[in-house]
Amino acid sequence: MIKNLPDGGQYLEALKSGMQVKKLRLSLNFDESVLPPYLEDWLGKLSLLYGVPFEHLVPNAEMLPIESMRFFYVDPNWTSCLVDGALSVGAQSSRDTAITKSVYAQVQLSLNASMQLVRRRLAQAELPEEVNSNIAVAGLLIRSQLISGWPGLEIAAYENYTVQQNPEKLIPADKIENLRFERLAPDVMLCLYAKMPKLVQLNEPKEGLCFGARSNGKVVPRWLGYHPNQPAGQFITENPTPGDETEIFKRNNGKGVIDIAATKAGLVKILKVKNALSSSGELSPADFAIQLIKSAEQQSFLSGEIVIPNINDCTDY
Amino acid sequence: MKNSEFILNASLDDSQVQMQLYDYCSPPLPSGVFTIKTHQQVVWTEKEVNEPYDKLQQFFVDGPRFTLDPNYVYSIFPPANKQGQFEVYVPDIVLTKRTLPWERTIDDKSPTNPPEPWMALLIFTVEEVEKVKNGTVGDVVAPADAEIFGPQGLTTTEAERAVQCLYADIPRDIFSAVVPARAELKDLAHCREVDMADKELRADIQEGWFSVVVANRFPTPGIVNNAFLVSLEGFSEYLYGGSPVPSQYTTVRMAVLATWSFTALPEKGETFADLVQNLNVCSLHLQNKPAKVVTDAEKLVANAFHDGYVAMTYHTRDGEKTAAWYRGPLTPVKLDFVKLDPFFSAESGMIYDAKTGLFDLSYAVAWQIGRLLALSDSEFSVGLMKWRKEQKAAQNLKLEQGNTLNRMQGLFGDAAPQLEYNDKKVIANLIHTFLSMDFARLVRPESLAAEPLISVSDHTGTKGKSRQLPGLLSRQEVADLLKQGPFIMERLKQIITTPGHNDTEEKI
Repeated sequence: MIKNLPDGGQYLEALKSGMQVKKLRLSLNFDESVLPPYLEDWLGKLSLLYGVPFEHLVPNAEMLPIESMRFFYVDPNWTSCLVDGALSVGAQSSRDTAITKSVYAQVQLSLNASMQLVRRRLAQAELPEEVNSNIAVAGLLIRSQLISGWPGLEIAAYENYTVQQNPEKLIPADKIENLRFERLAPDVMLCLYAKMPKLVQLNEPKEGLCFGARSNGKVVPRWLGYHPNQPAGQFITENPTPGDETEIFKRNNGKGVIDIAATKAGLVKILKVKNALSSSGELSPADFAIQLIKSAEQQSFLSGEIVIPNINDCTDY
Repeated sequence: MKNSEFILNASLDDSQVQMQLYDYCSPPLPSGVFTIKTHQQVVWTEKEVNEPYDKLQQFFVDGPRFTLDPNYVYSIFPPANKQGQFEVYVPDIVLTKRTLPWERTIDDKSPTNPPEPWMALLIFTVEEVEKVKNGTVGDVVAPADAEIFGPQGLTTTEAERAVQCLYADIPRDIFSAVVPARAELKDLAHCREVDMADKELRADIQEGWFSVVVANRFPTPGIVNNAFLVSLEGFSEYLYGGSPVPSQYTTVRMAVLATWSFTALPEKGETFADLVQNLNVCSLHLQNKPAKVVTDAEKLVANAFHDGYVAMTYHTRDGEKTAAWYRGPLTPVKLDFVKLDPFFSAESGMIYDAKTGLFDLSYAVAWQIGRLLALSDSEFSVGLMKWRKEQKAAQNLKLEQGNTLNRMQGLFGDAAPQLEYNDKKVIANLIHTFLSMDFARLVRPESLAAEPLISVSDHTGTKGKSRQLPGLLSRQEVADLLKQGPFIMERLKQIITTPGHNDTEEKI
């Protein structure tokens, strides 16, 4: 039997705009239209697709082939439906749905904010005083041996960049904060940002920076930062002459075993000439490590807005 | 510096926080057995007491010795089981605990200054040392085979000797050729502090501090290389340049803390640069297989693929089997937020294209996933139900209050419309005034002709006898009192304290 009941919207209107309740709300700080913070936090994580099965994120494996990087936008309508589904739990009557409706506008607003706090909360970082109210979540997926083989891979996203001429170099600007940075599988990484990045840089992890010589087997010493105008970690010269180079000396047994004492002596000799050593006149273990570190590799990827749908190829970016 | 500070740094300015290197990071106490010795001399001259009190307390600082929890290994280079042009790189291992390489000494003496690491990363080709073996610590410290040379002079407990560990058997001449010299050890390990802002967050890495142990040998190209992180404890005398391993032994046995293998290829392979330059970059969508698009149907499919849709088999509720479009949350095109009202069922998220007769189930699926995720998290679902219940209770209460006020408004006449619901004092005063003035007038009209609201009867049987009852007010007094309005209490006190008030002549 269907009674002639007002629908959710009408009920809500009656509830909200009726003189009685309006007065009530004015005078009693009625906490209607507010979800408790822990529920909002949960929905914030949900909006960042925490817990959504991978096959629903990438429904076809061919969308993310091996050794690939894919840029995407996050469909706000999709995540909104996700939130609707979560809020539907246990709703049994038109009154329950009306309550959901009454908080809906507020939920949409506060989700924007709580999404931006998720990673900071995970990192136990200080929360910002204000958050960006206008965000369009976007990001990238990487499926590569880079993810499995280089734990700690650094992925930095920038909103802008400028191109410097001679030598040609990209200067990134306006860094975008990560919303989510998570390994979904041993070789799959998901990164979500508050905006579509224009420039993404993959950096070799610095704690795993390896040691080695230049491809010609030579080593050019680096400044140690003990004296002014000697920025630590930079090569003493960009165009080394033979006098600026030494090599990694090896033990005389043909097994490729490094003779550390001889290698150090070679480095000290050059650095002494350049007056770069500390007052002790020796290389400490950390000083020695700086000398042999190969510089971190960095690769930049540019993305762009899709203007014209190009249905046949993969040249959108 | 904690993760949080790095994130703050990174978001505050563009200055790139670089890496810091440190010579070593020694623990407050190295691992081993320590003894606290106390000595107190108690002297009491009057009683001729002069006694020493001595106490010994041993304690043990535990730390990895023959085995290493794999969680301590953060990363290794070259990556395990990878092939690449690694012969120009020196392998290294990054450990998550910054003090780990300096937690022991290799010769059972106090740490030197600067301290030496107790572990070393040794690289052998598969021909030199084939692989690690499984055994117990007992096999390492006291090998059964007389030709095997284990670590010298280690004290171990019986329980320790029974622990399972990994070890490597290294031919004597290879050992003496590859092992680092004692003076080189401190140059083969250091500490690093790096910026964690652009990295995946891990529960075990709170700060950007790592310790690094570097090998002292380049990989041999064209062959599988084994890397062993070995414990040097008990080998302090026999390192490169020290005394040789006695000639009656053919093999040296070392405890292996971590191991992996890789292949160094002479040609190009999977180095970071190779991998990163070969990344295939585009937006997230399915490639359209037949590249040529001719018919309308083909165009439709190609456009759908371009927008990130995939076709899925769809079993309708009626049992019909058809195809439906699905697109996940990650789309190659930018979409605006157009949905303003919540959906209350998965079906309300279904989109039907009348032209093609196909459903787009993306949003229905999203709704269903959201519901399932919420249901699977009892904390959330219980919290949601609780909140909804509270909302209902609050609304009910407010409505009830409203209704009550509504009913009472007739009583207050002109004053009512100005009332707010929380004007409790005003309402209380109004009620009081009403009871004492208007209501009193109804009970006892001022004009004698008017019929009183309460007819006079004698329920109590005290009519005309009140004179004999102590404390009873006469009718006149009651009427007088009721006229007092808010001052009724004052008047009552006055009447009671007046002597002989009870003698008043009863008139009715």
